Amino acid sequence: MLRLLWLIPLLPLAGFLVSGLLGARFLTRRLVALVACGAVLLSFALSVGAVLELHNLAAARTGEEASAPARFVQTLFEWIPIGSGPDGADWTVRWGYALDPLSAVMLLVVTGVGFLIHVYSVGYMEHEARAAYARFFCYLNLFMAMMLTLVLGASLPVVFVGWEGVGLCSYLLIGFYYDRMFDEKTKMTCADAGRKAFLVNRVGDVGFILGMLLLFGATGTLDIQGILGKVGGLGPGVCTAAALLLFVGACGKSAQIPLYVWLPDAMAGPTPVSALIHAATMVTAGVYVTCRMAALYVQAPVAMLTVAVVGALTALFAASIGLAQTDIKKVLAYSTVSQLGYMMLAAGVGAFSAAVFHLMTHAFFKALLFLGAGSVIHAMSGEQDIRKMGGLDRRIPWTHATFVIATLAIAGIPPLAGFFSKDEILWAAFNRSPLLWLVGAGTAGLTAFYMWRLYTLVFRGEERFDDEVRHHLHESPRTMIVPLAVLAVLSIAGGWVGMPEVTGFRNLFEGYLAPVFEASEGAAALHPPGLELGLMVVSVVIAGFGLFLGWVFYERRPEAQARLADSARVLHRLILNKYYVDELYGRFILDPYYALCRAAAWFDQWIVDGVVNAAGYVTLASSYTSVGFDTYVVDGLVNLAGYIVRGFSWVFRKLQTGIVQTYATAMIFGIFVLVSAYLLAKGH
Amino acid sequence: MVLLLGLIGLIAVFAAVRSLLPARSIPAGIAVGAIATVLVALNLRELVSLEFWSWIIGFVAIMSAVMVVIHPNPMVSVLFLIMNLFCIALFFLILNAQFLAVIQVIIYAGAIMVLFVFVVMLLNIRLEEGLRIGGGPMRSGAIALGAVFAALMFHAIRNRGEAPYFDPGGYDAGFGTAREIGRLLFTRYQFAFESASILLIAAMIGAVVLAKRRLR
Amino acid sequence: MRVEFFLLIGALLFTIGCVGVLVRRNAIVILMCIELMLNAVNLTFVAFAHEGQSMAGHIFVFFVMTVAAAEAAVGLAIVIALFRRRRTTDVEDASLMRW
Repeated sequence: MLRLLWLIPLLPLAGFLVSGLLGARFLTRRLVALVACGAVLLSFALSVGAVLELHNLAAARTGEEASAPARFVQTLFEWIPIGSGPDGADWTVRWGYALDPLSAVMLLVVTGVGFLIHVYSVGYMEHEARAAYARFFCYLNLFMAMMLTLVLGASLPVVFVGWEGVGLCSYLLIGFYYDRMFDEKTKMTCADAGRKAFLVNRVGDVGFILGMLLLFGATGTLDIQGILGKVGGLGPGVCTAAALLLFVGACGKSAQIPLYVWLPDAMAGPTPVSALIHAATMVTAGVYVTCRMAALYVQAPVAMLTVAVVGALTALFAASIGLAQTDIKKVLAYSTVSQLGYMMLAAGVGAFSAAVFHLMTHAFFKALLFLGAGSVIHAMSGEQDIRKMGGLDRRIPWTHATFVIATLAIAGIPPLAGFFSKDEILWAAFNRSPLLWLVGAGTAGLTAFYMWRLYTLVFRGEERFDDEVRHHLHESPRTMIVPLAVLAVLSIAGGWVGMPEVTGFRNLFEGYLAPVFEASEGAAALHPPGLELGLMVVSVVIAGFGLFLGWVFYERRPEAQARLADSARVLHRLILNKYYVDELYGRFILDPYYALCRAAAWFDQWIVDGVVNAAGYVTLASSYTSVGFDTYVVDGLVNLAGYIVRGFSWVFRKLQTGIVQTYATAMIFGIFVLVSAYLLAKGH
Repeated sequence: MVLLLGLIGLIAVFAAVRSLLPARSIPAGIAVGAIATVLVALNLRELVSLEFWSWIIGFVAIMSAVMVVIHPNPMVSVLFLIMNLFCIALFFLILNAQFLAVIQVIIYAGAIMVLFVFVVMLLNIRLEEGLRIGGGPMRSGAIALGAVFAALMFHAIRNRGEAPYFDPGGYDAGFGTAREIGRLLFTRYQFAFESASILLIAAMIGAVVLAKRRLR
Repeated sequence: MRVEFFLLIGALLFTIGCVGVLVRRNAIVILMCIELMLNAVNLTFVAFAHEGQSMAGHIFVFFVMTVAAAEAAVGLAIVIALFRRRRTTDVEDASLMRW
């Protein structure tokens, strides 16, 4: 099965081609859905088989090899045959896939959750036109192919191909309803949101490329394992620079400060897209790459500190914005940004496996949350404003049940998945710096609060929608409910593979990934285990308190919430408007840029084109001059010759008098002259 | 020389008086005649010199030539030309060209001039309009040219070489006679002679054709 | 007599004839002046023949007279033909070939 590794990204690519080329005209909706979901299912099956085979391979090794991480590399072809560098190093870039525990985890998460979301989309996009339906699945499959390329890539250029590819698919899918207006206030269309996502990602990609080039220049190879093997020999300066540059790319993809602004607007896309791309898979690519290059980061403590601080701040910042949002998907979007901050915080303090763990659990419950939200929106005939919802717990029970599970998971209530992963991170943060722990804990409280707020406003209380909506209110079809149920199960049980050591259970997850992060796994527990247990309790208390406050403010005494919002009006307005970050960006970055663009356009139009036009005018002028010259000077000279001749002829014609005697006079005069000359000459 | 100059002077005086004071022409004429007689009587020896008569003939020739050119009436011009031809014939005689002198009178003055007279009478020309003497620049140009011409003549005469004096006695007796001319014409210049006869025939035919009236 | 005397007379006659050709407007008088010029030339020839004791001069004069006669005849015939057309012998009236 490992030999078929290359099929895993290829199957969704084939699905993309089939849906793209044939789907709109020749295939029915059922066929398109079959092809798309089938491709992903097959990839998932292959992934499971490959991972199992890898595990068997690792288990079969003995001796000193046992501690090394199990790796399987499959090179397909020479992609960029550069040849050898000056020092004999092999610079040829090959297209190859590598499977090790880290990529195995990612692989399973991507294909598994991806399959579930594909199935969900079959129901969600049912009422789209056939061409749009085919287009959706075509893009979705392409995304899967690109994401798998990213995860499996053995060298940085291959990863980058996947990196760019998912960015492209994000753009295509966000702008799926390309003719629809997204935000009435700012006149942003869905296409604009897609463009924003792509461009902000681009900014990050610059960092990624520069980091890649720096590493190539420093180590002479682009193969990931090759680079990681040599990072020990590079100085801290080079490592810090490369690490920070790669982190810039990760900020773009994983929506950290300051490149997170695209994620909330990415909610313009259909809800399955938000679930798959902007919760479970694409946004985790940044975390994945950071963890993959862990050996590099470990060599650069400054970079790691930067990562941790940025992650922590992002978590807190995004959580604070999520408190006041009124669109169901926006709340979830800011929640995603916040949770990604957690993952970066984990990576920054050296707990790479914790970051990946949280990545996995977050994929489960965030996808569930988004799909649930999609179910709600579907039931509410497209309404997304939570102020116009309420009382849905009786109406759509399955959605309600799964949503509650997901909410508790994200809040970090044991024994659901979120608790374990989040707690690992908080513990690692505490080991690094209590301040970071404090920020993380505060964010956890905020998370619990706003998630319960969301749940309450959507499902609890009285119904705040009109009869038209009530009339159409219905539970989602089975094809949408089943994935919800599966994800709910995963949200409950997914954390159990990563039990903390102190509780006595083995931390399977960490053990599985340990060989990968062996070189980089940070400080062991510096504090007594009792502290860890105590912190666990503290985090549970904080989560519970957050939920309680949410219950109080939104269910028990809603008026209290309104009064609070009123009394802290400035603060409320600030977070309601996302701290005006988009406006600041617009004013200080975009406007000067547009001014520069206008200036460049002016330059092109007036100066460059002006030069070209001037050349034309010069040619014209010179042609006129030439014409004038030809007419007046050249022809003038010719005419002048004629005039001169005529002038002379005017004079000379007077000789032709017609009277013979005049001629005779002239003759005699001539004879006279001749004879005189002869005489005078002879006389001397 | 004295006689010659005197006579010329007297003629000039007479002409001047005649033109300027027409009333006194008769007494002037008488006076001039008297003085002329006196002069002749005093210089009889000069009367027989060939030189004297050459000058007189020359004077007459030139005067008559001038009159030919100047006189408005063509008939008078013809007559003066005849006089001029006579003078030329006399010159021929002086120069020992007897045959030519006679030929001149017979042919030139006798035939050609008669032809002229006939034509003049035929065309019945009275008086001609003014001479074609041109305007200012032409006149001054002509005067200048004449002055130059006079200077040239003067120069040529001044620089003449020594020439032998005319001596009538030392010549071949047959010089200038008809016999000599005939001998040359029929031997040496025979071709020219024959050609001249053809020329005359051509001229005759031409004249007849040109002057003929159109056939009605 | 010195030969220069006759040459001088001949030259003067020639000049006068020349002037007459150029000045007079009557075609017949012009022909007569031409005759005058020819005679002057004859005189010059005879003078040189006398000086050089050569009969060639006389022969030449002979031919000059012949040609002069022919020319006078034809010339007068032309004048008569012209007179018939134009009723005038004025040469200035025969200036059609002017500019």
